Amino acid sequence: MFGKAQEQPLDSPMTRYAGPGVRPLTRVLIGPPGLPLISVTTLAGLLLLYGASAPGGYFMTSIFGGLLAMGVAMVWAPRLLVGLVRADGRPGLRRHWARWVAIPLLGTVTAVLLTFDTSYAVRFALSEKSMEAIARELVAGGKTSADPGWAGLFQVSSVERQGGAVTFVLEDTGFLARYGLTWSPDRKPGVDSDASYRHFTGPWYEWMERF
Amino acid sequence: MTLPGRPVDWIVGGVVLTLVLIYPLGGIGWPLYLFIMPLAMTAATVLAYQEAARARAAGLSARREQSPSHPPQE
Repeated sequence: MFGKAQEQPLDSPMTRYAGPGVRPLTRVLIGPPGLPLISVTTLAGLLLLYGASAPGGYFMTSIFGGLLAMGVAMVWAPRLLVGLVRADGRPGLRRHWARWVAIPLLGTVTAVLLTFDTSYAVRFALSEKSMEAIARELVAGGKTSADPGWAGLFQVSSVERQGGAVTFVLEDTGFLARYGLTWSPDRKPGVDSDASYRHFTGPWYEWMERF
Repeated sequence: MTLPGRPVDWIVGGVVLTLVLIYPLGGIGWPLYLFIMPLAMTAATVLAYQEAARARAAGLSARREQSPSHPPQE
């Protein structure tokens, strides 16, 4: 009877492997991951990627994304384990394997993107031209509109000029330090400052100053 | 294996125990926090399967009683 059931939309109660007269929570626990769990997993992944999309990262966003991801794992893994162990759980796992796989797949994609700093690289690549234009304008003696405001896709709290170098201090990044990006086409910046610099790409350096 | 309570009791119990233990144990209790909720979820899921199995069995016997070979008694 279950094998001939019509395909139902994602998260429909009819797709749950249970008979009538069963409580809603029971249906959820023995059913495959539904739209809410998959949505929360996606949200956790997006928060983690956003949290790592700037030098120093966004601390609170990363913490919240990490807690959400941990919550998803705590809901998903025990349900899968019990479904695998029980004979009446395995047919449901086979039937809805795609939904069961969706959660670890999203987790793996997020982990790979985080490992290679993809969100940071993409955000910087999309912002580089705007930031360089602002930096050149400031070095040439012009005024900038990015103080405070946006430089490309980065929200900046201030733009500071030191000789031929320009530092974009990024809003809300880091935990016990301020982070930013420095454009310095002529030389490595910071030989005469307390801040530390790390080469990022081309004329760009990651800037960090402890509180 | 028969577990006491309902699935919702285990889930609510796990959440409450985690939150209650955060205060006395603080940061050093994090390995414990990581174990409480998975254990509570596992117990809740086992209970949910048992409840569904009972509901299926009850539904099956009710249908048997209503079938022509087993007419309902008056």
